[in-house]
Amino acid sequence: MPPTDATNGQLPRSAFRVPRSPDALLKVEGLAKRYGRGCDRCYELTGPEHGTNECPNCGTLVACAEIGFALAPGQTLGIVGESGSGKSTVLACLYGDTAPAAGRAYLRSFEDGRRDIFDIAPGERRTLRNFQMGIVYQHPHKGLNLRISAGGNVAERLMATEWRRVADIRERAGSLLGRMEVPPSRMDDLPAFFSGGMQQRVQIAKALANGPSLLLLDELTTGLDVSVQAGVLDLIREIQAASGIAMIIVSHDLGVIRLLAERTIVMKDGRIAEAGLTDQILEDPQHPYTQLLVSSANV
Amino acid sequence: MTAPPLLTVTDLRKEFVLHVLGGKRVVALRGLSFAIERGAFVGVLGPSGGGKSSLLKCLYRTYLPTGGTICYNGADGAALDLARADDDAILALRGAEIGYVSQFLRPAPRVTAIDLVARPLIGRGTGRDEARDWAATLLRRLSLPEDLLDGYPVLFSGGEQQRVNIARALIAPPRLLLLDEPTSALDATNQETVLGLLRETHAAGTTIIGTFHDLAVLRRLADRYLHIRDGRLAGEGLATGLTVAEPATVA
Repeated sequence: MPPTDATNGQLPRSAFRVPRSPDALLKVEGLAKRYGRGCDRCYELTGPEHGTNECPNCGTLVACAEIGFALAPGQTLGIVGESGSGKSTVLACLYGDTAPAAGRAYLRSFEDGRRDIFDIAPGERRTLRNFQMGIVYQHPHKGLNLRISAGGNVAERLMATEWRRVADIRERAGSLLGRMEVPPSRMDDLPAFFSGGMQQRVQIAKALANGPSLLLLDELTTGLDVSVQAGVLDLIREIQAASGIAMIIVSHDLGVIRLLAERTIVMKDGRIAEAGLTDQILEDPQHPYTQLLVSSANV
Repeated sequence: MTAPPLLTVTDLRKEFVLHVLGGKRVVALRGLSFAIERGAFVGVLGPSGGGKSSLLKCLYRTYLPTGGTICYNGADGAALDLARADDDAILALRGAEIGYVSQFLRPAPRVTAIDLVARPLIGRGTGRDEARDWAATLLRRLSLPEDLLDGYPVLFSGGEQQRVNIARALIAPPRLLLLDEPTSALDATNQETVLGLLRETHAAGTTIIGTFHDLAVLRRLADRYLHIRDGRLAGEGLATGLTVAEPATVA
């Protein structure tokens, strides 16, 4: 006989439960970013149904618009799409590298998620970047200072927060780099002379230095040799398993998304074409663009 | 009063619109309705292409149902429509209550068999070493060669992969287990081992819905059957009541 779990003597309700997400770590609503002077028809004239992200009326580039999603703590969300689809812009807005044209975002670990992180003072923005978020860019020169040592890069990040004692900082930087399999002997070398895979490992160490709740990964394995890619992806999987950190992974590679993300957003011409569970996106894609993407890929 | 069914499927429909083929429509499920009691072992039979796998994938939400409802009575006593629940609710159920064994393993690369199998147990809070011990025990019971325990399943044979896949589903038995042809690639000895494990899992309280192309296997394991043909329910009843006429429709 089956065990009588669950109902705890309560009458089972016949009505369907209203689907409810667990308290989101990150909530994004109506995010948009435009490059150009803009007009009041930019949004209605662009998007996947128009096949363009450039406003035919005023020539403004609508990098992304109407972007909304929630991310649960510890969850990994993939954002997939072709070059120019706006996926990196979403990360850039979240990290504060660029200011959005519209939208709101709330991070639970920042003032209990009560304040819109797109609408805060520069000083607060720095605090947010330094304590709550980490980012790894496709190009190491964006995330690293290539003229100071690998250890120095991590130390720089630590010193932006409450770390003060040099010995502590050095020890922490060394242990982070060690976890990312950067040999201790290379700690004092300039990352300019590192291989691509090693540079990404230093970026990851730097991004994780202050124990953020959200890690943003922008095409982190694009351009790396396949075997090097594998090592970096394995490292991300270990971080997923070992820590409760939530991640947003931007990639044009469905294989990377399949390996790392539980949920996936597909972007096209600056909009979300489709969002769903990653296995559903791959096995039962709904949007014409996603179907094309999945049928073209070898995943 | 009697408990509500674990799963109540009503007019479940699944249609694929293939935009890459000029909007061609393929209908997989044409309105299925049935209920599954808690603790049941239900065998799904029917011809290839008749909708068996599509049904399982709709229940697991790998396929997005086109219409109908899938009312699942969760361990918390509340009902949820799996056809429409949000992604996070589905992920939560997959982590805690609903398991799925696909016909083919698509293992993550560079993860050893033992780590792959141990993972669901670690996900439920068991320590890594203990979980690995359990994984090894289970894989040995499934006669996976000793030197493959630390091997990468990507490189295994079909039968070895299938056993890894089953071990991964059974190490932390879910409340509802969906099986898609779990013994298709196994020889007779290994098949018996798997059937024994499935029986134990069922006896311990897991509700199981499985597709089986082998009617003899279905009759030995399942207490009820669903016969799905051309996307419709062609029959259902007690597995012992399966007539010889039914097998003819399977081919």
